[in-house]
Amino acid sequence: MSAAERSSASGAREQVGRLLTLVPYLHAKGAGAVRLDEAARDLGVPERQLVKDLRVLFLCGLPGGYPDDLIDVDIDALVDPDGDRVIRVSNADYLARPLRLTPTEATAVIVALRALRSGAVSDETREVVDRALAKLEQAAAEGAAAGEPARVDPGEDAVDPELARLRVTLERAVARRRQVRLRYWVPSRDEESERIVDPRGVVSHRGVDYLDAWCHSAEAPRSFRLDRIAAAQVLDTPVATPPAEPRDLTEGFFTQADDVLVVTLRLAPEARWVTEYYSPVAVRPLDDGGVEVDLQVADRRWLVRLLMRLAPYARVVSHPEFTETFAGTIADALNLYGEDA
Amino acid sequence: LAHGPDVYVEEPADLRAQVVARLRAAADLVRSAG
Repeated sequence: MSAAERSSASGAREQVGRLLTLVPYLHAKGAGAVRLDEAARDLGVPERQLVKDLRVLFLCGLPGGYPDDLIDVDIDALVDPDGDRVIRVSNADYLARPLRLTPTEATAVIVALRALRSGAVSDETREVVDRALAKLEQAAAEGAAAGEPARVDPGEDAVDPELARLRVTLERAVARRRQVRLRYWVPSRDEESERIVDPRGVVSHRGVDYLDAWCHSAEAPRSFRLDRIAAAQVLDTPVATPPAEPRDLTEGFFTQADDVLVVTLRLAPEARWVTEYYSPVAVRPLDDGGVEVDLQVADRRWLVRLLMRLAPYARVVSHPEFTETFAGTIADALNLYGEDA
Repeated sequence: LAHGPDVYVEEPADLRAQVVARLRAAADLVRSAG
């Protein structure tokens, strides 16, 4: 994101904040009772900015977007040289009503807050979330027709407490710049390895937490899924590599810097789930109901395991060497059963 | 299947037959495509 885009995004956020304050303020003052200069003074913004905000408010309203759905603002009265510079807002009465959530909406918010609470590291966050939860649960209970308390309990296992503790341990190691000895399960080799890493941060991608670190065994940056870390021991040894920000995973797990190969697979309908489970670069539907998919592959052994798992509903299109490896693995497996490939 | 030749299914027999059938089908698919 460029500096201009960041500034624009920040400006938009601030404007939304102002608009959310503006409408209740105007309601409290009463229709046709607020002059532009008075409102600008009360709200602490320049008059020009307030007019800009009101022009945006003019485009806001209820779903539908027809003129009757939108908030009406008399802009002429504010910008016309002959205007009386009094703010008149109409068709916004619904904004004065307290927020009402449907049971489904309330449940969604409560579940989200409980998940947030489980993963919260600081006591302060927990307190804030607890207060919001108490209010919501009370309101939901009062609103329930049967009088049943609308408590939502996602269960103790919603967030694994051991994982939460591990996350805290690793984040402390990052903050103290200490090395960590990891015992880590490597799925592509189905074996546990031990390695020393310089932790850089804990990051999340698609609901999974990763420790981003410099791995001294691989002599390269690596990401370790927290749920595959069997043990993490924070050492007294300071990290040996220069400080670096953890990887930004918002654009996906793979980056241009990785040694990543894009491999094209042809998948039968039975294997289409791959397109949703992983993050393909491209998906092209085929006439037979299957798809051709371009997948980023960082570990060749992972791809062969995936192909075996999908057998016989997938094959490699783009790289003949994978077909050879795949065929060899199938032949070895068949040999176990006394069969020739 | 993902474990390839590292895992051998002894019992139950119907599961073993399924594994062999899928491996055989995969071998045929690779051969026909290649």
